Amino acid sequence: MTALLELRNCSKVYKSGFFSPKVTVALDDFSLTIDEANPTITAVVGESGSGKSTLGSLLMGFIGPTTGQVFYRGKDMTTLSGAEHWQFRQDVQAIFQDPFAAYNPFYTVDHVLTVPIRKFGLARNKEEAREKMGDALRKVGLRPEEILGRYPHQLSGGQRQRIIVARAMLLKPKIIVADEPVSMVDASLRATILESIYTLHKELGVSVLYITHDLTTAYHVSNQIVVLYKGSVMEGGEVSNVVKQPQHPYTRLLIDSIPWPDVSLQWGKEPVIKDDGSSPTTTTGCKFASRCPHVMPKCREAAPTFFEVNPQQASACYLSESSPALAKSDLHRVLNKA
Amino acid sequence: MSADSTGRSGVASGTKPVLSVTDLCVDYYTDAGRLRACDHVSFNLYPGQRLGLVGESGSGKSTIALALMRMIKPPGRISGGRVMVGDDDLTAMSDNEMRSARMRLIGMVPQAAMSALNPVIRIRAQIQDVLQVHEPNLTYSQVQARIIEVLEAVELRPEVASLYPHELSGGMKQRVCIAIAVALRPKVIIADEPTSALDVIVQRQVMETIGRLQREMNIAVVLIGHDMGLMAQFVDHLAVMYAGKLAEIGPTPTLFAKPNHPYTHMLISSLPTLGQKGVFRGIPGITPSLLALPTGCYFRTRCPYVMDVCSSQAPTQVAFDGGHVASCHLSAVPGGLTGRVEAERDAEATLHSASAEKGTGEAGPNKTGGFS
Repeated sequence: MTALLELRNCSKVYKSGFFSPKVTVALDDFSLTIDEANPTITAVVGESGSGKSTLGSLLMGFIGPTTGQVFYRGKDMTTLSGAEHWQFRQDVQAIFQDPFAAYNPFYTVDHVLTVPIRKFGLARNKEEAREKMGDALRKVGLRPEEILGRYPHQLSGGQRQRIIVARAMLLKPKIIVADEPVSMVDASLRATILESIYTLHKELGVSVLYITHDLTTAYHVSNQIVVLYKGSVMEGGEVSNVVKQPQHPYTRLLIDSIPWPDVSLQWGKEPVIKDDGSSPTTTTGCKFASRCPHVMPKCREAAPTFFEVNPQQASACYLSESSPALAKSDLHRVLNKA
Repeated sequence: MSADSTGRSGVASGTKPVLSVTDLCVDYYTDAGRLRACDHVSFNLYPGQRLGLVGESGSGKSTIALALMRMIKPPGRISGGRVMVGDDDLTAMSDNEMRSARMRLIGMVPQAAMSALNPVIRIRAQIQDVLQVHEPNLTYSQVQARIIEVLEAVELRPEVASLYPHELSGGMKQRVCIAIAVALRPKVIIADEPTSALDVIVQRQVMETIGRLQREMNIAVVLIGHDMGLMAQFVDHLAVMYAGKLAEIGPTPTLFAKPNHPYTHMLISSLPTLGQKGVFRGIPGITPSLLALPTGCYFRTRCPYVMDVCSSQAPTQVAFDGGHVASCHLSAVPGGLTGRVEAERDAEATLHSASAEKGTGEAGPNKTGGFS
C-alpha cells in the first residue's frame, strides 16, 4: 500500500552568509509516513528552532528537502503533474499559528471561505456556496449569521482561528498540518479549537500533524508523538508512553518544565543546563549532549540511533542502549503501532 | 509554604504595602460609547510579594498594567481611584513627575519583547537610554559598568550589549527587557505576559530569572497572564479579572484549593493535566462586550450556577479568611461554590453508575468536550 504522504530521509540545511556560510541543519535525516487508510493525529513537539515548522513546510510543499525525497501518493513531489499538484493542494491543508496574520484586513472573513470554494469549484452556485460555508462554520461551533459579512478585526482570536479550521474542513482534505494552532489564543479557548480539530479527524477521517511546543495539549489530542530537538528526533512513539514514561533526557526536561496548574506539584526539580553551543546542529554526536545531565563521552562522538524501548516507543539515547536498535528511517514502524 | 525552584516566598504581613491600588477605574471613550475596562479595582501588594493577575483577553488585565504605569492613552483615561507606590501617589503626579517616577518606582516588562526593542539600535544604547535619563550624573564609565551589571543580573554575557535585537533569540530579548526594567531598581515590576511567546523550557528559565531578581532586590512583582499553570508555579497571591472587575483575589494555594468564584473554578479546570486523557473543559461562551454588559453579575451569561438574584443585583465583595475576597452571590448560599461543585460531581457520578439514557450527560453545567 502506498502512503498518502511520505518523507524519506529528508534533511533541510539552511546556509546564511556568502563568503563563510553559516550552516544550520533544520531537519536531519527525518522519515515519516502518513497513511490514508488509518488516519492518525501525530504531534510534533520541540522548542523554537527544533525544526518543527520546517517539517510542516516540507509536508505542505512550500520548500523542498536538501537531501531525501517527499512522496505524495507514491510519486516524488518534484515530478507531480499540474493536475496532481492541484489534487495535492486540496488534500493537504494548513492551519497556522497566527489568527491575526492569516486574514487580509480589507476583506470580510467570507473571503477566506469563498476563495477555496471558487478555486476548487466546490459549489455550482452562490446558494450552494453559502450553504457549504454555513455548514463548515457550524461544525466548528460558530454561528454563521454572527460571522459572515464581518471583518477580521471585529472577531476575537478564537473565532478567527476557528474560521481557519472551517476553511480547512471545507476542502475535505486528507491531511491537515496545524502549526501551533493554539499558542496565540487564551488558555480557556484552546480546548474549543482543539476540539474542532479533533472533530475533523474523527468525522472526516483526516490525518492531523499537530506541531506544537505544548506537551499537555499534544498528550490530549494526539495518538502518537515525535519529539524534535535541533532537527533530530529524540524520542517517538505512542503518546501516553512517551509522556508518562519519557526515556530521553530531553523529553524529561520538556515535561519537567510544564507549569502545572497545581500548587502542590513543583516546577522544575532538575535545573536546566544552558546550551553552551558545543553541540551545533552540524555535530556528528548527539545534539542534546551539551545540555544533557547524563552525558557520556561517546555521546559527543556519534549520534545514537533509535532504541526500541517497547513496541510503541523509541528513544535516540545511549541510556536505552540495552533495547533493540532501530534504523532512523524505520521510526514509522513504532509510530504506526500506536 | 516551602520555597520552590523559582523561590516563591511566604506572605509578608504587618508591613506597609509597596503598591496600593484603590478603586481604580479606567474608561475608554469610543464612538460606540463609553466603556469601563477597569472597574473599581483595589488591591495591595507588599514588598517581595508576587501577585498574579489572570483573565481572558479583554478582561482588562493589560489596561490595569498600563494604568499602573500611567500610560493609558486617549481615548482612554483613568477616571477614578488612586495608585500609591510607597508614599508616592502616582495618580496625583504631574506628567513630568510621572516621567521621572516611571521605571524608577515602577518598572515594566512588556508582552512582546520583539517589538519592545528598537531594531536599529544596539542593546547597549537601549539600556543606556533609561540610565541617562533617570540618572544624568553618572559618568560614561559608570553607565557602561551598570549596563554590564544588569546584563549579568539577567544571565546574559556582556558581549550581548553590542548586538542588535535581531541577533538575539526570543528568550534573550525578553531578558534584555527585564534588564531594562530592573536597571533603576524599582520597587515594583509589572510583567505583562512576559513569556507568552516562548516555549516551555525558555519560559521556565525566564521566570526563574524574574523570581531570582525579585528575591535578591526585594522587588514586588505583578505578573499578568492567562495561564493558570504558570500562576500556580510562580505567584503567591492571585487576582482573577472578569470584564474589568475583580472577580476574586486571595493567596494562590487557597484559590486553587477552594475557589469562591465559579469563573476561577472554571479557569482552573479548563487546563489540561496528565490525568484523564482527552478530557477538555473549555469555558463555554465568550467574554461579554464591555459596551453591552449584562445587568447584575457580569459573569451570569456563562455561569453554570446562575441564580435569579444574579440578573438583578451585582454581587458585592465578600471577605473570607486570609485575605481571600470574592464577588459572587454564591457566597451567601449555604455551602457556597464548593457545595455546588460537589453536588454536581455526585450527580454526575450517579448518572454514570446508573448508565442513564443518552443526553443526560449534557445535564452537567461543565459540559466536557467530546474527546474520547
